[in-house]
Amino acid sequence: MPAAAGYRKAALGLAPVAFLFVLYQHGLNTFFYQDDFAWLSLLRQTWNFQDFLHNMFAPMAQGTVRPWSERGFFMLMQKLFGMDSYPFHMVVFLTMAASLVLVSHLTRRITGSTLAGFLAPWFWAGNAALVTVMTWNSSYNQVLCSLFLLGALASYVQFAETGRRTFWWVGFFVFVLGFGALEINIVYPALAAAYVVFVAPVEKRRRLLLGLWPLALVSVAYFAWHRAIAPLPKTGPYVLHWDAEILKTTALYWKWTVWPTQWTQFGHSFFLAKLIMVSGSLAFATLAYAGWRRRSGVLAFCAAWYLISLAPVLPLSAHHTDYYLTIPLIGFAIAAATGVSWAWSRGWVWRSAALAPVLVYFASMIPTAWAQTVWWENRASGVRTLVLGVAAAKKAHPSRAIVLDGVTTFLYDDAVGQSAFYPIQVDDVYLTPGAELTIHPAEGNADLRNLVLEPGVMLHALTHDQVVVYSVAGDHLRNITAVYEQTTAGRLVDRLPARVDAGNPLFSWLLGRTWSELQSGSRWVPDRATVRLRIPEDGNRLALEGYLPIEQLRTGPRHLIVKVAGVLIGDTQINDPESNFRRLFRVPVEFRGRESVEVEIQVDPVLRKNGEVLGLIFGKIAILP
Amino acid sequence: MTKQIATYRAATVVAASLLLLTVGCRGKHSGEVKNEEPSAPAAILMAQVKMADQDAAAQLIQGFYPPETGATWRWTAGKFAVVLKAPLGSAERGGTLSFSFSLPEPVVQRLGPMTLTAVAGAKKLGTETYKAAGSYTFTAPVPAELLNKDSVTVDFVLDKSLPAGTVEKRELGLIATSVGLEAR
Repeated sequence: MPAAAGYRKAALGLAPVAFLFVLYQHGLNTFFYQDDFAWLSLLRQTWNFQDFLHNMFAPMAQGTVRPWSERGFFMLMQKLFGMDSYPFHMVVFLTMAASLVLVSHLTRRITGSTLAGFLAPWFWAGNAALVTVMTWNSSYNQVLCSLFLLGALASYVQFAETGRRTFWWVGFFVFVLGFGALEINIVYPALAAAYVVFVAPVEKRRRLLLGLWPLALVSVAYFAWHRAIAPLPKTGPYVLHWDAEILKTTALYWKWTVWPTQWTQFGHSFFLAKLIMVSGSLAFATLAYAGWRRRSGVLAFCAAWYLISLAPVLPLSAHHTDYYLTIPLIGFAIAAATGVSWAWSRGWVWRSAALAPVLVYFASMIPTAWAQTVWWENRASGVRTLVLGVAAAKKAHPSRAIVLDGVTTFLYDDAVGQSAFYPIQVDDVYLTPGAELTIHPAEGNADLRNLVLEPGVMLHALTHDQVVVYSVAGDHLRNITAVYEQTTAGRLVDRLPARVDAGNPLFSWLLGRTWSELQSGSRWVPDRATVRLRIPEDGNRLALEGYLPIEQLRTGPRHLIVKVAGVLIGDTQINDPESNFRRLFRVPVEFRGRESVEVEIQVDPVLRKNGEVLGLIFGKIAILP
Repeated sequence: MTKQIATYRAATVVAASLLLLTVGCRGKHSGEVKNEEPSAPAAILMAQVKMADQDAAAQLIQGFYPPETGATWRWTAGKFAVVLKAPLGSAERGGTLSFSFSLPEPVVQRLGPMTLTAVAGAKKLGTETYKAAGSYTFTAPVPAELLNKDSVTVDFVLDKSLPAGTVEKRELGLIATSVGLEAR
């Protein structure tokens, strides 16, 4: 083969990869956000090999175990590149590029059409539902799982064509490894079965189906194991609903398949959206009819791929997200490419008829995918400013806590509320008083009350040089401590807070002398300790939150006595096995509205060790309505 | 076999070129952020505050929401406050407070006429009622005795506002554009 022809073929094969890199290029520059910070926290929690194994393989987040696509991916990349998001995205892009090459290869194999093989990756890469996976590292699981599924199937197709057992084993190992990427990998035997039933030569089907039994057994075993370690949730967005909603969810995902999910959010007309959807759906109805007339197994395989890989998320009626389409879209893309290749072989009328919906598809998908990617890059750039700005601020003021002013709800949801400063080892970051009025966090984020300083605490911290105040100013933070003192400090009411965080050094002035030194964000109460706070007019209950290491709790329950201004208000026990405890005590009416009261905490028995008296670890002490 | 090797070699060359291209296209995504630290012990206050001006944002001490991306205005809550520098000469002659804002149609439709009151310390500076949606400038005289310090804090109060959860999660008052003090 002449070298020029080789380059031409390679260039054509890699053209969809170039398309992917060009279309989603802004995704490469998108900083970390939201769940990324949970995965970026793992490295800091890894002190030894045992921690490493736990962080890699212990079930987390809805009982998932995804060592290659989440824990291992984030820990390895962070170890190598720190908080630089670019190499993370590059790995995602390269994985996706490999998947595109495999889609092209598989399509050529099962359709026998070079044109379909060329077009299928374009249809997949061009779909705007991929924006999330191309901009958000936390959704790498979808991309990596695609690669495992495609790799396993490509090997199985090779096995089917050549009969060589090596390919069966390669496919088997790729399939087993795929469980480390995403649970949806469980459907692979069904996808391979669909290939056998609809595409493989009739005479080989029986033998090939038998060859899938071991894989099916692995899936069944995985299912049983996963159910054992992660029981199905009974509340929240991940509850499975086995009802008619599944049909609605299927329709919704079909809509998102042919119509960019954010089309109207970017200001485009809803009417046009309907036209796009009708155009796409009509094209597919025509294709389905043509496939039926031709008795085409390829289209049946594509439909099976789409539905089988989508099936695991269909019962999630309360949780719809576009990136769940990443894998199903492979079936859609192969079907669309097959349809175009059929039309191309039937003269200019059919060519034109096929070209119209294809143009509508790309004309709607590409600009939306581009705009959405740019939008995420911009949104995450604020997170970058905040996270790296806080790192720089801490470097400049290592002994002071950082207080952020002017944080928006977006920044809270994407960074502050996601413990974004934990991976950069900065633990004392707070928000200015009043932030609770302007920030309205999404559900599931860190409690805003734990981060917003009460006015009295802020004033004390300012007058004792314990904090520096920063605001977001474009692509950096601005130290506004002096301005804040000049403008706002005078309006901060100098009164005790109604809530004390014993583990926060900014509250230490409210604690009596017997409390232990600060240790990893908490303090020990010995046999007796006091704290001062305010009881608001509507203060009804005193809440105590703390912790006792389970090993110490085994020696016997702890007796906890609580007094307010010398009056006994609570007498309770901390019993095994509750290591984390929370207790509520009614506050007598006569104390309501007092600007300062002393709360006394007594613990019995205590542990005496190396000269220290250890009772209980606190925790928060707060007056609640 | 030769045919395959030629294709693989070519594919490697093309892929490597693509990779180099993207590496060469690296944008601003990593490295460090250079913060702005004060060069003088005290920052300088402004007498005129535009809502988009980040330099003056710290003077908006209560009830102003962060500006939307690229916007030159901010939503306020029902009560909001600003610290303004006392302009030169105002300690002798007194000053004039100007506050430019808009009342959007949906707010007026829901709430009807709205009354805005400005207060500095214990002194009421002025009050005005607005019956229709539109852009307005509220002005009020500020007595000289309130301007004999470096700065003055002005509190604005609306008699009505959209409670949080009505239209969006925030309590909404009006749309502020700028606020300032001038010596008379």
